[in-house]
Amino acid sequence: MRSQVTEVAKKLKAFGEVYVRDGVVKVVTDEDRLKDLILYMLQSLNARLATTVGVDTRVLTHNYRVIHIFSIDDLKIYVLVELKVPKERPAVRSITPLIPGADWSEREVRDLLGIEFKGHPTKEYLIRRPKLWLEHAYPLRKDYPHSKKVLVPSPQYDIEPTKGFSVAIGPYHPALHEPEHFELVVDGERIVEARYCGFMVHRGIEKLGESRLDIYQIPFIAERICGICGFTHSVAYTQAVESALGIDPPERAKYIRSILLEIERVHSHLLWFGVLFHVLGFDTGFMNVWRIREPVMELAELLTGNRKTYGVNKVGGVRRDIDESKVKKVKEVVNRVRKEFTELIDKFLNLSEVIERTKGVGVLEVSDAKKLCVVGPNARASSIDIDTRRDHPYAAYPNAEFKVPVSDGCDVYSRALVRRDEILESLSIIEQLVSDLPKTPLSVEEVPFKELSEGVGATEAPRGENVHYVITGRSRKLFRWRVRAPSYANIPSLLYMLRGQHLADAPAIIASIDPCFSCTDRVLVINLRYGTKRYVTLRKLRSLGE
Amino acid sequence: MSSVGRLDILKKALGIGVVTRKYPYVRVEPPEGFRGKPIIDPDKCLGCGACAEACPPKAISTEDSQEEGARYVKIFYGRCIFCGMCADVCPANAIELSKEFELASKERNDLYLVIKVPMVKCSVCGKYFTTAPLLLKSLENVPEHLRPIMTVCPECKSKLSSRFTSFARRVGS
Repeated sequence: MRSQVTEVAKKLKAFGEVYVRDGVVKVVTDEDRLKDLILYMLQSLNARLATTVGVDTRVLTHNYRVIHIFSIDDLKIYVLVELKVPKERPAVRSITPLIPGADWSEREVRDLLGIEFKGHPTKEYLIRRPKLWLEHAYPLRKDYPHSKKVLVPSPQYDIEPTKGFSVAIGPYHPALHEPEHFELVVDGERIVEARYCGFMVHRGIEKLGESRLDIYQIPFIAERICGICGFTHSVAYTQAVESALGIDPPERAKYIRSILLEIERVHSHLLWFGVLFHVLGFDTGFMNVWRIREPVMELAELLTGNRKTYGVNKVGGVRRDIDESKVKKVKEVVNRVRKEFTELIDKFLNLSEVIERTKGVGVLEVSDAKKLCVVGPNARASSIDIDTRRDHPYAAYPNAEFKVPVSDGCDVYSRALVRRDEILESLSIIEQLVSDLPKTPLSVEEVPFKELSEGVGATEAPRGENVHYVITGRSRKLFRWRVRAPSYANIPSLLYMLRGQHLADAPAIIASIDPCFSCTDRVLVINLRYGTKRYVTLRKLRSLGE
Repeated sequence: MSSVGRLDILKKALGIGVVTRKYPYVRVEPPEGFRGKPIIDPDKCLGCGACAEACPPKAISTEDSQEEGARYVKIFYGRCIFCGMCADVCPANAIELSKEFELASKERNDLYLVIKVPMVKCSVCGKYFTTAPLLLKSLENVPEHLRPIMTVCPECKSKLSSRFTSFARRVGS
């Protein structure tokens, strides 16, 4: 593997300067060689875009930087493609024509940093609302104070009329009660076109992490990015910082992280099953699955002191131990949940009404899934065999044996099957790790600090790959913190899934990717009302890939 | 298959019965180690402010009152995220995360916990500069001949020491 990485690094030298550090290869290239580099990586390395980061490095090097993060799953590495962007009239060549999955992240960089992407097929903003935002307000630039609001004090809303009959879903979600907005254009009962308008929850977490908080405080806010799978964010963040600072946390800390991550996955997937059954109108299933989930929540409370927001993570280790009596309790709960879950889930999934409402519904073709760089169970149900736990091993996963369930049905039913198998795998991982806890300290004694060092941390969240990228700054603070939550990669695929489906199936399809809007909206600034702009249309998104 | 499945589900549901707890009429006791409302023990608190420094959401603050000669350590539960960092860093183990979790209130003022810690006057300028318990605790680690200078505030100390240095320089030259 190592020799393969060095070979790849050698080949990448044709495209620019190459730096190699454990698990991360960085290529500093320029616009002329960018296209060839991307094509080379897509064709010969089977690369998958994770995200795009814009960094305002004007204070350091008098330019901006754009970093495309690629995951090369076969080689277990991340490749960072860095481009320097001039300070005056910042603009850089877009890679969206080559990889449609880059659409959102490039537009986000454009909206929040004011870097233009030449040749980007969409002119519409993703996050910025032109009449609601102050002009020239680019909140992620370093000279923009974190306390300054970007909204115009008293904005004027206008909602553009659309042709045909359109059904608005949202700003509150039909399944998950989070603010986001879908606009479905229907012909009778069939959905012709779907539009998505999200980014309505302002939290400005990245800016907050870069300005007010230090590296020890951020794990707690990272945990609050998501209300369901928060711990995975805090692990991804700490891993990114640990990689930047060159710390290796003790084995026991890694085991405890893995155990808690799997507990979180079990509860999240069980919650998802409940939501799916609920939107299908099958409340018996909903109630029973959530009944099975309750002991998992109580177990988390026992191990960490809280049902959610575990708060046990810190840079360099964990804060709380799992002692013998708790180990016993974990085993008890795992056995109980496994027994009850296997007893019921197949019965639920074999009911004819569940099958009819989910089989062949919300199909995401393999080629579309690849093009859009979807992740997690959403990708695995479209027969893309990726799992960060196996492809970029972290925490204690190298010490556990587990299978990665993959299905080729591409529909809502396959997503359910993948998640069913994942729950069983997770329970087995918890059992393996908890009976084999190594006896080491819980955290490193001292955290050395390095200025301007970068790191990538990735975890497999219940919803898919979760990527954090950090650059350390001065005095124990971060210079840049970028979060790519899995729903960010998965939501664009919804527009493909919804097309041609029955309107009544829309909630089940939307719920099927387990969307988490608070994760996706973490940097954003608008609240409450939608409107003011035309959103990216399905046709436009499709045309990107052609 | 599916009709049999349906019967099984029904049978199972009947067997389980009611699992919903009658909270809040029936109390639910959180487990050991639950991270609830943090409480400061006023007898143990040194007023050092380490908790305020560590608190990620800045829910804890300290305020010195020269008139009253006291330092106020304040927790605002409205901002608290129950992470327990304050309890981790407290040198006197004065903070404990209790099992209390029902903190909703109609009055904002109910969400404050304020501890008053007496302060010590500087023996030179007469300004209050540190808390009494903190001074007593640090005295343990200071050799006896240096103890008198501990009641001098940092500003006066630096003035004194610069006077000493310039005196020493003059003598030396």
